[in-house]
Amino acid sequence: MRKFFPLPLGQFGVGLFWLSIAFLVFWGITSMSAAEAGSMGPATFPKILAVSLSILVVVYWFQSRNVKTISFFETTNKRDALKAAFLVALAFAAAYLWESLGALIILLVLSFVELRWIEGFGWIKVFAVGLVLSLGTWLVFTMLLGVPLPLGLLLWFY
Amino acid sequence: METLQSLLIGFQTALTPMNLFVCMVGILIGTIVGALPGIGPTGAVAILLPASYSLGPASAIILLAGIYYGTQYGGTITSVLMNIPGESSSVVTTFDGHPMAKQGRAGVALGIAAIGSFVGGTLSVIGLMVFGPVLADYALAFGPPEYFGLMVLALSLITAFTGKSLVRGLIATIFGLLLGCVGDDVISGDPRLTFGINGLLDGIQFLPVAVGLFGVSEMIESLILKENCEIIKVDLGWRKVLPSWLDIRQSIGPMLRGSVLGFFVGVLPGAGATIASFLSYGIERKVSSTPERFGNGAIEGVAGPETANNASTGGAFIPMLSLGIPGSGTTAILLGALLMFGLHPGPSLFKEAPEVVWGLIASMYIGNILLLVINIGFIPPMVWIMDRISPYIRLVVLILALVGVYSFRNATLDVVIMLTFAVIGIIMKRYEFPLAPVVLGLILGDRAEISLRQSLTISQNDLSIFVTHRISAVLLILAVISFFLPVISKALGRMRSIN
Repeated sequence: MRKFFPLPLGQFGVGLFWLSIAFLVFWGITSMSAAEAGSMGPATFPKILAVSLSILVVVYWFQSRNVKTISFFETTNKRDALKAAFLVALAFAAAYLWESLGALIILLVLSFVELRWIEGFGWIKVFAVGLVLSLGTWLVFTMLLGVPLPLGLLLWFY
Repeated sequence: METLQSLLIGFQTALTPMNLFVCMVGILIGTIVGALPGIGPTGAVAILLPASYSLGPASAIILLAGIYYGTQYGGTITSVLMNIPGESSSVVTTFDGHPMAKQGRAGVALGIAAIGSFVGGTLSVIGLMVFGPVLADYALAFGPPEYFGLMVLALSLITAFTGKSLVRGLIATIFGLLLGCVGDDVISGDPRLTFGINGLLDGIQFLPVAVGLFGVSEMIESLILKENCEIIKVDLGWRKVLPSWLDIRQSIGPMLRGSVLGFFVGVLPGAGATIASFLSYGIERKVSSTPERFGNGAIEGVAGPETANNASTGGAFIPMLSLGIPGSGTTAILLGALLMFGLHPGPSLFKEAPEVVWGLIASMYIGNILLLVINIGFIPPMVWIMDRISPYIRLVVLILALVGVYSFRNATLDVVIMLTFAVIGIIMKRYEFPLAPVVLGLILGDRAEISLRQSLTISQNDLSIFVTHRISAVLLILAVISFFLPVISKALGRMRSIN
């Protein structure tokens, strides 16, 4: 692959990520003025930064030509990487369902799944620790700190 | 006299039962976090920041600062007992601390580290008390061009010293500055880079970004790297921890040198505890008449660096409190905490909120005494707690991050931002982009832009305003030098190796 492609793929991908941010900035400020009443407008500062970022990405790519590729899966055990990806997906799902299911239910489910399938604990430990951690956190935040966490499905019982 | 009066006000704040309790909680959490490999002080402070929001500014900053300097103590435990540094600033302690443990002197190594940490921590608080208000008074005369110069200097120092590559550091800094551009424009009030999302009108909040980058990303990475903590059981009763007179005599010099060095290194943005500890180790080996003992259990190799890394914490508070310029990821988060409470870190803070600033300074005296007591007398229970918590640390971090970030503004968008930045944080670390400049850029971004635009309005778009104002010119020259310093030193190193 390196024979045809002058850059390690990982570094190329990361550079593309930074470039896409610069592109997003350019796109986001198209309708804004660069100068206002003879002074710097709201578009100028982000534009300067986005141009600088694009130039730096090119320099980064140039510097990465002779660097050994860093592949996520080369340096990581596949099973652990999958576990990490599962944990991230689980956390995003928790955020998505946070208000509809309620904080306590989400915390309980999250704890059980994390302890059982990511840490690999036995069911008794999973339930005991999961219950203590989720309920404890919920009580500390709602009762002690007075934070109104969403009740979600628990509203049925009120 | 004025300083002493202010300190008295500080002790009145710090000695209330509530603040004593939060100080105790902060240093305990800090010690445990410092000892557990995986979560750094920045991550720990970020994760607990939302929970501290309801405590009020003085108590919250006392809690968070307690975590910060507590981690410097805690990092020693695993360095000595396991040869695994809990913190990057404790790496040096493994060089001689672990050999001491192998020789059956683990208790003495931990004891001298605790005493050194106390000496360094306390002397640096005195330094903060003396130099902080002086610098703040001086900075009161700063106008927009001077502030712009200061922001550029802070960003350039942290860019130059926190990463392995200047280009990657610059990319991270610009990314942070761009994040700071999101939301209502600072002068015209027009929405900018919000892409129609109403939740972004107030900008991207630093809290979800910091918790995602430093807390959650480290937690996920520890899963990938299989970082777990197993503590070796040794007898660490308080008699075993007390050093002999010979040990103390050998350590006094390194402690004093470490205090001065650590304090001044801590003041520099981008330097911090790790550099302070490495420098101290190098100096101790240089001044020693028996340098061959270093690496084989020399007590000076533990005393000096452990003192220096704690002394750096007091120094790091000076630019943050006096100028509103954080020098590291952790102080950036502490600065963000002050901003969250509507305070304006900078020269006027000493006058606007004396109970917060002086309460913090007084609490650091108390915290250092408490830490000495904990680290001399209660190491076995601390080790027991660490042993029990470590298997569940990932879940604890995840739950605290989710609930904490949500409770900040009751917005699910913040949780999504946090998780997105956790993923970005993992990618950035994998490809060796430094994380601290992102948070620093985000915090300083809008202030840097305001200073730039105000300066140009004053000068009618004449850029020479930054050169004609002497202080701003000096600061900008220093910024340029700091950018090129690593490049020059690398080139000199290469030339030397060729020769």
